[in-house]
Amino acid sequence: MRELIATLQKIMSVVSNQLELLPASEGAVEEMTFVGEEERDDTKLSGDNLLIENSLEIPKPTWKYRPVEPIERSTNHFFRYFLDGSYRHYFLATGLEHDRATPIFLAQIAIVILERDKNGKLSIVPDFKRHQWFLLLAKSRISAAAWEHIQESTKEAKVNIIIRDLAEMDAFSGDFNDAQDLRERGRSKTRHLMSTMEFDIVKEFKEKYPNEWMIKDGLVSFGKYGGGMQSTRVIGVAKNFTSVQKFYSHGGKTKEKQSVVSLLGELPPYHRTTAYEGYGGKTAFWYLRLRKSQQVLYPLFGVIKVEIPILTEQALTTELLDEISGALLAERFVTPYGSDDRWHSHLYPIYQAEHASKQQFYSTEVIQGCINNALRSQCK
Amino acid sequence: MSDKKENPIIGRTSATERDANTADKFNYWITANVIVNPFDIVESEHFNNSKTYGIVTNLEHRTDAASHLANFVSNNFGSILEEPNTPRVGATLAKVNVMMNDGGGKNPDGTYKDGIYMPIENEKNVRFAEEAGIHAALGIDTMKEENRIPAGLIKMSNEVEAVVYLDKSYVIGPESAHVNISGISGLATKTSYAMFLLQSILQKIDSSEVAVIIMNVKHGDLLKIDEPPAKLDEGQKALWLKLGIEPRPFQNVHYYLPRGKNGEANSFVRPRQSRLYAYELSDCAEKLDLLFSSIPDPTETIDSLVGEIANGLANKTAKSPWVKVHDWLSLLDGEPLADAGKSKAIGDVKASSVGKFRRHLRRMVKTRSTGIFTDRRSRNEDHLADAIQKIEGGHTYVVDIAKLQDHEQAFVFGDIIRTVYEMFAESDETLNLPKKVLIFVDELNKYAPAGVKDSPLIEQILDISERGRSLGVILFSAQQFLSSVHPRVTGNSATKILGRSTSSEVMQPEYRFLDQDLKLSVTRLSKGELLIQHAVFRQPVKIIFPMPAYKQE
Repeated sequence: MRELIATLQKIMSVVSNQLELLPASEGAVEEMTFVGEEERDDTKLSGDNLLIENSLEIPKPTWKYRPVEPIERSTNHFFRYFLDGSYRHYFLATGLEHDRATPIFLAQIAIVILERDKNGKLSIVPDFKRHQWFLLLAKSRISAAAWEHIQESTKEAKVNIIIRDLAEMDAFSGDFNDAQDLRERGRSKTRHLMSTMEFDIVKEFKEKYPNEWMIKDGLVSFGKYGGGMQSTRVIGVAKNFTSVQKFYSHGGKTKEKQSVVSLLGELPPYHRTTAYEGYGGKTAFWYLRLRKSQQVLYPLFGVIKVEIPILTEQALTTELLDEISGALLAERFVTPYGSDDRWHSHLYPIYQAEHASKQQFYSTEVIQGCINNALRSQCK
Repeated sequence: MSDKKENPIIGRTSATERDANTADKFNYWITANVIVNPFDIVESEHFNNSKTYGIVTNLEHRTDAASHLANFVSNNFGSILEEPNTPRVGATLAKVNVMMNDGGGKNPDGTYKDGIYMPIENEKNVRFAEEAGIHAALGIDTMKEENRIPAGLIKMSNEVEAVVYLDKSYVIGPESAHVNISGISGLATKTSYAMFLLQSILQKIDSSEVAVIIMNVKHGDLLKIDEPPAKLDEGQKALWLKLGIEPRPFQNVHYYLPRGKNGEANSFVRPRQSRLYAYELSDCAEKLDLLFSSIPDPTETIDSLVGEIANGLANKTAKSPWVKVHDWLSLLDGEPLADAGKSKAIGDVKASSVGKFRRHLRRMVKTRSTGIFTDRRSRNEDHLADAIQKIEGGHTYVVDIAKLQDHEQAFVFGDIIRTVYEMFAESDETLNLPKKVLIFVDELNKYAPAGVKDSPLIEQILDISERGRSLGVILFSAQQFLSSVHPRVTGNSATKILGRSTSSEVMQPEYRFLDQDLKLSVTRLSKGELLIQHAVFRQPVKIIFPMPAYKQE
């Protein structure tokens, strides 16, 4: 912890030399995450891809919904690796330079990959555990000299803290213009950094374990913004997803246009949809109902969205999609019922990966203590 | 110090926001495939390379299920057919009571450095303690070698064994004394342990300085303690030897059997080398109060009458009204207590009270007597007090009271302890007494029951409990329920042994020396397992012990 305090003091010393600081009301405030973030990101990434027509499944389906048989671990241990990342995000201060101002955020991001053994026991894959600090501020709101000095302050620091431009365009934050509230942008920037880190670690993992299937929590690409994973045998599973899209269902000779709510409302338990084309044909996605609708409070609960990169070496045959879906269906128990509002769509190993990643975090009390300590010594 | 490779880490300490480690307690989670049970002794790393030793009091298994409902839901809403792909994450947590911290090693003089009793921090490695560590934890390693009395074997979940020693000076004085054994463990467990401990003491100290008096209260259990067993199981033999004691019967044993109505021994078994004992009136004149121990005497009328009789019989003159009283019958039916079959007043005691006294006495020495009260002892019948007064160090005296009526048992036991107490309290150098007398009696609750404030027998037992330590008169007692015995008797026992007991019994205040979690463990003890709470030990420990190496009926 001493290293963290020393590093923060060093950086904040430089920041305060370059900018006038108006610290957050209580020194440092943790910006809370909210449940709908995943859905909002999905909506953003889907962009103008509002009407989904193409099925990428081979052969083309003549059915609307397809039953799925669970594939238990004891029969075929299909998924043995699970990835999830988490972040915590703190507003430190507003930096002022002439008539320009930028919020300054500190973020910590943690990611782990869990391995499940033949007995179902989970453990962290030792080489695939990450924790990274970021300091976020808008480059365009401060002078080049100030940015340069702040960048310089992180060099040879005892704790690696990466400086990132808050105003830089990214998939979750979009383009920046002066009318935007940079405070709002801080969280989406952090989420983007986390996704980027996740993609990087997946790439590393696949180099080491090319033949293993892995479930990654959330998305597998940045949709219309490009980029994402190009690895075989990796799927993304989303518990919350956009509800603005419409679909042409493939239930027979006539095409039926349906909202996602309607499509999934009719999705029977333990059935899946066909694999639809994602934005720009870079990914395919389908929905799988894990639970009976009478077991959940809302008809769209208990459904997951499964996303997979489209790669020439990985043909999306019905057989493959059934196998993936069957293995996912077998993950529906146990559940974090009572511990997580998203229990109905949570896959327990992913839930545990989320917990394991959070174990790397410095506690909020420690962080606030470090930040306040650093700020007190620097702020006017 | 052992090589850490040989003593693997079995978990790490865990302190949370709600369940902190303290100076007295710590928690640790247990790694996979390690079996830990209550009463295992473990060591945890602590500051300054020190080790903190503790005893496991309870174990908890915790999962991330927010409620039992979560588990129900996780089994497909109550389906017993579903098998989860990923078993729910859970951890077993051991709750540990701190016993000692070794301060990080020993000083040049062999004493431990000052202990560090700050709470153990989170994530410190925990291991099973080894024998040396167990001894350190219990304070055995600082006991003088010559003071060590083997008292049983600790057998931990990892198969590590450690001999448990009691400190002689806390068992038979002078620091503290007395041993009390409780429990419903099973046939003869308490007696077997008492006999084992007596044998252990006799082998580990200069036995010529110690005499043992044993009350045989059940069947012929203790009437062949000088005979080797027909066959001693090899495992039992090995256990004796592991404890550093020879599996052998008692030596120099004298048996005293009660006279029956027909003048023969009134015993289940007639051992070799036995003598009969009986009481004629003159033997009892000073002890009649003991016979009336169980008779309520709120106005002290009986006490007064007993005093009159004792005085009258002791000071007979030709003109004394007691001159014709020479046996039980003449006391009951003759003057001065009665005339022509009618009770008479004596001193301040009214005739009606004398009548009541006569009725009780007749019942006890005549109609309901098994025969130990006789008008005249024969040549082969001893006065027990006379025999007790000749006790010698290195000898064991077994007094059989198994077939006696309750009031007779109380009388005989009272007679023995009063005789011994008076011998030691009033001893001078002319008496060649052993340094210590150990008296073992089972069913102590009969003689010193809880809830009875006062009786001549209780007074006698309390005298020994409270002052016997300094005199060298040591009580080894046993009963099923600790709570059924006078609290001042059990309270003065520096060593308490507990066998299996009931849950309602262990909730009694007499068990407050036990941690709440350990109380429930007492209800699960197996036959042959006992808990020892000794004055030197920081926590009670669970032990096993070998079966007696003498012939048992």
